[in-house]
Amino acid sequence: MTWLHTWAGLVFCWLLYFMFVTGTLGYLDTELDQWMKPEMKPAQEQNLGQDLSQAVAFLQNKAPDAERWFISPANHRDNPQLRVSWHYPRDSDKSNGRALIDQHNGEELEHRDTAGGQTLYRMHYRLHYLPSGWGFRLTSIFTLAMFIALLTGVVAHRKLFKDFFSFRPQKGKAAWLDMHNVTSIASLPFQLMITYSGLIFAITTWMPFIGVGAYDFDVKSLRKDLNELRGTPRIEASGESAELIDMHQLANNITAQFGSDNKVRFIEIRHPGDRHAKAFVRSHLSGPIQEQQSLQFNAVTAQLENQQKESNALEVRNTFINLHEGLFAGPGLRLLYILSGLLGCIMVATGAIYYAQKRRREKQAPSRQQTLLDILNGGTIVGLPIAICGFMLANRLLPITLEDRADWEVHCLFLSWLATFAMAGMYAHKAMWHKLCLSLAICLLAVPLVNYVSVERGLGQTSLESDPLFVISDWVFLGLVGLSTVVSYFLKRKSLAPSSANQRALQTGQTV
Amino acid sequence: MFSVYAFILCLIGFFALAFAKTRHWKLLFARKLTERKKHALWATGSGSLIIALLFLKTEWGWALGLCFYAGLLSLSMFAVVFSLSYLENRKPKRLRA
Amino acid sequence: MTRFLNYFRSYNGQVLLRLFAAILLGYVASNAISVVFAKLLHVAAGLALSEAALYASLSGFLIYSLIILWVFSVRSQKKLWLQLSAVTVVCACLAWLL
Repeated sequence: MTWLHTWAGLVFCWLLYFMFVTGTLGYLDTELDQWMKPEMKPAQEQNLGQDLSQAVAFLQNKAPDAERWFISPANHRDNPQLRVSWHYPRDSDKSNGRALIDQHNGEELEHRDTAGGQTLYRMHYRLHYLPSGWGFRLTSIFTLAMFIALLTGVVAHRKLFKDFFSFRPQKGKAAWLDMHNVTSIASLPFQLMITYSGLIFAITTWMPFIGVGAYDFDVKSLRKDLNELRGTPRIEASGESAELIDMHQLANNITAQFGSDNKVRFIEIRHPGDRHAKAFVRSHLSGPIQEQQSLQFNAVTAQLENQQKESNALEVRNTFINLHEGLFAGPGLRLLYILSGLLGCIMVATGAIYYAQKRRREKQAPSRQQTLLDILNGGTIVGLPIAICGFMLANRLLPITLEDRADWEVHCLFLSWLATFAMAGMYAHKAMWHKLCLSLAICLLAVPLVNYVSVERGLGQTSLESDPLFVISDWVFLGLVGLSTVVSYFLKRKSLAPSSANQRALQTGQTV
Repeated sequence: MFSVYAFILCLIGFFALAFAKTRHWKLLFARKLTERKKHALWATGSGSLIIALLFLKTEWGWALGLCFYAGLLSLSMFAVVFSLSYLENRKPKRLRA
Repeated sequence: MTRFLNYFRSYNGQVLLRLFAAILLGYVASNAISVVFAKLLHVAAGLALSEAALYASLSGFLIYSLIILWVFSVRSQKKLWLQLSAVTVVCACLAWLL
């Protein structure tokens, strides 16, 4: 078991660390989006009918022949702006699109071309630079390795659970193991939940044969049943045109069902302008378990049609998925999600560091594998946060008119990550950790400074009441600067101390 | 507000559970940890953990309350273990044996 | 040929065999077990087929992981291969019959 734990962990730890960090930041995706589009302020909440009719007017102008329209009213943390997107059938040569709408005049909101928090969040399951689909296939394998590492960890260290409170901190290399144990035991429920629910996303990708086998290889009826369960039946266009209902009327009908105006997460209008047009309404989540989530309306007559079928299995699945995404979490729970995610990052990082430290023999030149381990550890564990700072700096510093600006932001992320690996290679062994931490501190400090200079929404330029997000994020950055400076100071002291002690030991050994 | 109380209760609970162990008791007190004190601490610890769960349930209901509970337990466990290792390091040398 | 076979007696070879058993045979076995589970839920517990298939799919990765854990905890390589193949074949037959 220990063998499996070590290898499942070690082989994948750097990628798992990447997934944990970007996934944890994913709980702040909308906030990052807002930070990266500093030209925009959050919209005022207005009534649902108004939002819907503005959106439909915009879409009728922009993409009248699209197959599907999605409208997300500005009523929630997830949708600070009225947002629309339109999708064509797969074989169409027109390209899909999305836009944020200005509530004052119903036109598209202008903002810089940015990758935003969404791209960062998507990296945790899609990676980047890979053909579509492959990233997800890979990350699900890593997730399985993570799940196995968790299970073997629990099995191999049963004793720790019993004696958790007689935990005694140890010195030196064992301190890393202590940290690894404490973080993983403390956050074990979260880790098990997040990994297994991550695997549930991958069922259709990696475990399709269970459903197919249960249906005796009758894929057609399986697909039909699943679509029915999900409440997303296949709908064919009639070809006859018919006018869409008045959105105020639809909004009234929705409010009558949901009981309140601002519960709508998004509305999907299938085949707008056709006689068979349908409107699917999805509500915001109020908790991980929610029964009534979707409604289906006839989008020509505004009549409520069949609602989602009851299915316990689907509810179990949705509960897992909701727990994973945490969309229902308010500020308090979101903070707990982020802290648990950070505990996960620390768990992976300390495990990797402990492995590298354990192999190290004092008084001996490190082997090539050890150097490689050190570089990978340093370049990943401290390098990735530096790279994310680079990503955020690129958002402020790249010229607004640059072509493919959003792509270049991501290139900047990976280029700065590469630079940290080079740096780790340059200073491997001795000074690597504290130099990396020091550069992390500098990069973290650069973010609020550049923000102050470039968009004038920095500390002292705005107030907590008018601009809470920017003020809080500046304080968080400054706090992290302090933290990494302190860490770097201690690491420097430590990296000097043992070597001098070793020398003394060697000297005394020689004289005796 | 109940969530903050629940967090404090979790902290109290884990501290009590930790000090029910002789090793940690000696960090703070010179006297011996009697069996009675041990049981009392254990009861306080588990009691306050349960009350914390009930507090969260009244504020958020079961589904959300359990999410909060899992997060708060992790956080307070982490905090308690860290302060224990701090205490251990602060311990004067003559007491270490 | 003997050199090739001898490789599987070495430590690396043993690990490779075990990985092979865990990842590939384990995958087939977990799928077969899950299908039987789904059919049992449908036939014995009277759930709708779609519900049963969904429950079985949800537990699929758990079964797969437990099989991998088991593969790495059994001492004898021979026992491991025999038992795992037997389970797979039996489950596949059951799935076909049910």
